[in-house]
Amino acid sequence: MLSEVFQGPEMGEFIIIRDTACYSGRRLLKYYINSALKREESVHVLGFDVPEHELRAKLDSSHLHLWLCKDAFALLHMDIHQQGIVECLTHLASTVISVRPVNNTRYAVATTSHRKKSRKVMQKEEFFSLTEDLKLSTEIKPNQTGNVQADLHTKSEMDPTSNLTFNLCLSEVERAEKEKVALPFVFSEEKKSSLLRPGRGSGRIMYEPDSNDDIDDEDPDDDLDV
Amino acid sequence: MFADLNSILNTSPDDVRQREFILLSDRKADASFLIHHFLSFYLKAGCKVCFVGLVQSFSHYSAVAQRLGVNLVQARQKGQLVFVEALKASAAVMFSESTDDAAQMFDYLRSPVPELRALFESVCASLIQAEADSSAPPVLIVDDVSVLLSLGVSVRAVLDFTHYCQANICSRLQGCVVTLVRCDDDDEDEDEDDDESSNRLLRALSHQCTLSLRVEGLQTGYCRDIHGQVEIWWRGTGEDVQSQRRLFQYKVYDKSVSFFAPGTSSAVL
Repeated sequence: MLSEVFQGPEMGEFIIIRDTACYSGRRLLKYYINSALKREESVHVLGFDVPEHELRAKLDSSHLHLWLCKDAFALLHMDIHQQGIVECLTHLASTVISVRPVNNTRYAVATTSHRKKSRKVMQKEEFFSLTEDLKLSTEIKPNQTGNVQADLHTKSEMDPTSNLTFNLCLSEVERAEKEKVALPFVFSEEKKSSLLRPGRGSGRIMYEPDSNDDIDDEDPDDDLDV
Repeated sequence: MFADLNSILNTSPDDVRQREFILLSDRKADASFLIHHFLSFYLKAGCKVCFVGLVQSFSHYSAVAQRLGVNLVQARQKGQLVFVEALKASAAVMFSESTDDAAQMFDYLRSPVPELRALFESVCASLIQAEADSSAPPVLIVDDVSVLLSLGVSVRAVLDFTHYCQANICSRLQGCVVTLVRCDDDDEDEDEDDDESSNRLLRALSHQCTLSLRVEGLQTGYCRDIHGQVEIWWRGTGEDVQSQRRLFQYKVYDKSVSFFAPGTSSAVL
């Protein structure tokens, strides 16, 4: 996605590259300037940060300094501005690329979020590296680290059932027999029907009314004519 | 001048790199030995040096330089060293005691919105004179810029000053700038939105610099044999791009400093 950011058919993009002191985003910016120059587009640079000769180094500078606004690119040092300002600028941009370093590698991570004209937001995280002569190579997601970790896990995982004093495994016959056994308290169709049918041998309540069962508290002697 | 540090940085007085913006910083440790190193280094290399001393008086720097084998008084008389007595001048301005040239340079301290234009102009003037009659690059050393914050100058004004210095001295005159920033001890997260902190100044200067030496005290506290660690960070400029970091521990001796890889102090091994 990094390499496609600048090649889409949409016009009038505003793209922000956000970096911190740990990793400079300037080379990525130079890569984009260079790729614009290679397509023979005119690029106008407002350099607030570094002198011109540094920026010009390694750029194909024949087309530099001509006015023609198609896309706007900006480099923003996130860590020296207040959070609010950074976020305001981020909202203005149609594409935000945040770069940060990865420990001890020549790769860095770029998180790109792109808002299309249709308001669809696309987000992607990529590993990238830039060579001396501003060639970009990208890699999708942390392949190496992920794989290495996975390998380590599989190696360290031994079969836990191998050294046991009892048998945890089932043969096919055993498994078939086990599945035949109906477990208690499982509500099968048979049980259900036997419970619903009023069987002959099932219990019945026999009740013969007794005179003592019917005592009225307000008339204990049963002699009032209420 | 410490030979150890020269070999780490791969420089020598005969081979001074131009257009360097060197940022020294310290946290819970004292990085002034690096200031003395660079002062004597550039004087030995024959560069014209402008030194803004906000922390100590001339006699202090002179006494230390004497031990490192450089005579500041002589250099000053020859005109190789321009020493701005900022410590005394800023105090004098505050108490409205003097009206001489040095005091005018620090006139900003009394203005409602302090800015460092006068300081920049005088520094530049002293170095431009030098450029005419020597081939070695001019050098500006400031010890240290975070004192300016304490004097009421805003971070923005200090950054303007360093930016102008970089544009003029590094870029136009092909010289070098060395500055020291002392950081607050408290954690960086706490003053995230604090506009006037030295941490913010340090972050902004880290973007500008080409070489950063960050001195920190040991996390485990004071140690007799290891005084702290220094992280050396080559941040690429436009031309040579790959940035590179290395970490060393150090011990300051009377006349020298030894640097060694973490954990390999002679007291440990």
